[in-house]
Amino acid sequence: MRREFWINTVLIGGLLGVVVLAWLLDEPFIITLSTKVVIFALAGVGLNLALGHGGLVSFGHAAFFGLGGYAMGILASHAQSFEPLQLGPLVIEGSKSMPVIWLAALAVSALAALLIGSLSLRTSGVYFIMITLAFAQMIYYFAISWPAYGGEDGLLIYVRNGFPGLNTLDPIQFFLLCAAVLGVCLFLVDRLVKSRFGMALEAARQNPQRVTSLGIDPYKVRLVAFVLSAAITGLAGAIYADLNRFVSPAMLSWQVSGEIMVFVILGGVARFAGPLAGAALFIVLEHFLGGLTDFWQFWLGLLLLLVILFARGGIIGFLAGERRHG
Amino acid sequence: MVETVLSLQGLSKNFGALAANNEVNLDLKQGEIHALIGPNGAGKSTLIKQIAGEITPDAGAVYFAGQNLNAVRSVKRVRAGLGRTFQVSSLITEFTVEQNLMLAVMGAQQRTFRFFKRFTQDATLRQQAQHHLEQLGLQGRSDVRVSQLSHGERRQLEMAMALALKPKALLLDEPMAGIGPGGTKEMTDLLARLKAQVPILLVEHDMAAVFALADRISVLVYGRIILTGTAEEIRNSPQVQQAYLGEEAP
Repeated sequence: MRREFWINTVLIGGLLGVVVLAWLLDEPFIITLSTKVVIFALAGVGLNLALGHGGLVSFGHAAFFGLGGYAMGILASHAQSFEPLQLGPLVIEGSKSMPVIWLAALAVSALAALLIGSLSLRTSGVYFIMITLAFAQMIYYFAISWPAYGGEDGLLIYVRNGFPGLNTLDPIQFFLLCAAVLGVCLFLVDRLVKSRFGMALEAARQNPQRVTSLGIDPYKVRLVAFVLSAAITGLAGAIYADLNRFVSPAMLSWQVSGEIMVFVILGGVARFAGPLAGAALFIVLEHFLGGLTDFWQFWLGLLLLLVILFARGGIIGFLAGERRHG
Repeated sequence: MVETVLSLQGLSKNFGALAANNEVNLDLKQGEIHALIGPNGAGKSTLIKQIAGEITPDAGAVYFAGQNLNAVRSVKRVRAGLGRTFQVSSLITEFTVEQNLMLAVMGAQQRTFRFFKRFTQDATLRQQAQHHLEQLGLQGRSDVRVSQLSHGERRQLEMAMALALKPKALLLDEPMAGIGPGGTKEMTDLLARLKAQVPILLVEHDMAAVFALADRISVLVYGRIILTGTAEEIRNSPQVQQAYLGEEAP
């Protein structure tokens, strides 16, 4: 456990070090790349709660990532066109403020997860994987065919949304904001995992029959975990859309679900900093290997294969030299 | 008149053409141990599963504290006070002994949805877990992972977890299986002490233990209860001898 703590420290310190160096050398591209790592890691932290700690292999987390993205896109587009959003009798003003947008993203993705989860969690194993995928695909095709918000072309936002007291257009400030959000979420998830609820979730993963026989409903425990997990991934989606100032159905595609899963598995399932390690490695490979060869995903696949075959605890588990669960 | 806690009325369950349980009537009264015996395949496990709510009966009903449980899910039956142990130990194997008990205490308190406070710093949870640990003589084993426990210790832990729920009735599915003569002696003593607190429906193959403990015994053969009576009545029944005891007892 101590060793894992040091690995995490080195990992987080390393990322911050790279960013500081990039800032001193005036390399905004590296800072933006690091911001991407942080946002992907946040999406992974969300999935890790369901997949790692709850054993719920959701292959549909792109739905929440994309819904978060659209929450940002829709609110910001109404703000930049000065047309309020009409939802029947309800009139919602658009917003260019990140805190407002984030709350909307959290709420929308949590609500979607409540609906999707309450149906999907009646199944398990392969069926759960397929049904979460199916729901995500439904939302994906809905986004493509719905012309109001750009359909297949997506939505472009002219200026990045604001955060009180910060200039979010400055890469280093935006990075620090994202890193702070990741830090808060990592802390909260870590506490959650070690709380009564976390204990019940872990127990439900190992032996649902036993949990039931103690008067605790595994379905309810899993549903709450799934909703929280989706909310975090949804928040990551809103921030990712803000990074690109663009949201499109691509954020909802099954490939994105797969990528978020890759961050978690590559980094280490149910590890504190697993998603960060996974996302960092993914971006490094995509960027540097992608610069060398168009077939970088072949090497990513090979690496994933090696991790699954020989290092079930992912990179973190491999370095920490201990298995948590398999 | 002694209060009836659990009552099965005309409980039937078929698997295809096989009548696993055929109009089973059985009751459990306050302060007693009611043993259910029968040869393998007689339908004892099916009966237990119907009482616990894992299987729904085709006909008949389970009454617990006067309430019909047929439409009540397993988890709610536990909350209503129906505790159980499993034929094959069912524990959270990657947890320590203490953590398993803490989970049971959590179930008893019905306070699962606490998201921030560390459970390791939860004093009430730990104190109560320790209390139940000591009751079953597992003190000193509290930080051992369940996967490293002996079979007998797992049995003890299962009992401790069932008791931590403060049940109003206990279903014990072969608690003596595989725990050795010493363990059987201890378990027999424990059950004898327990029955004053909580009535027990005991499914058991160890006849010596059954005859020593049970106030009443029901014999299940081919899904039917052929006789319910005291140990003496069961021992002297030619019907039971032929159907069951004849095969195993000398």
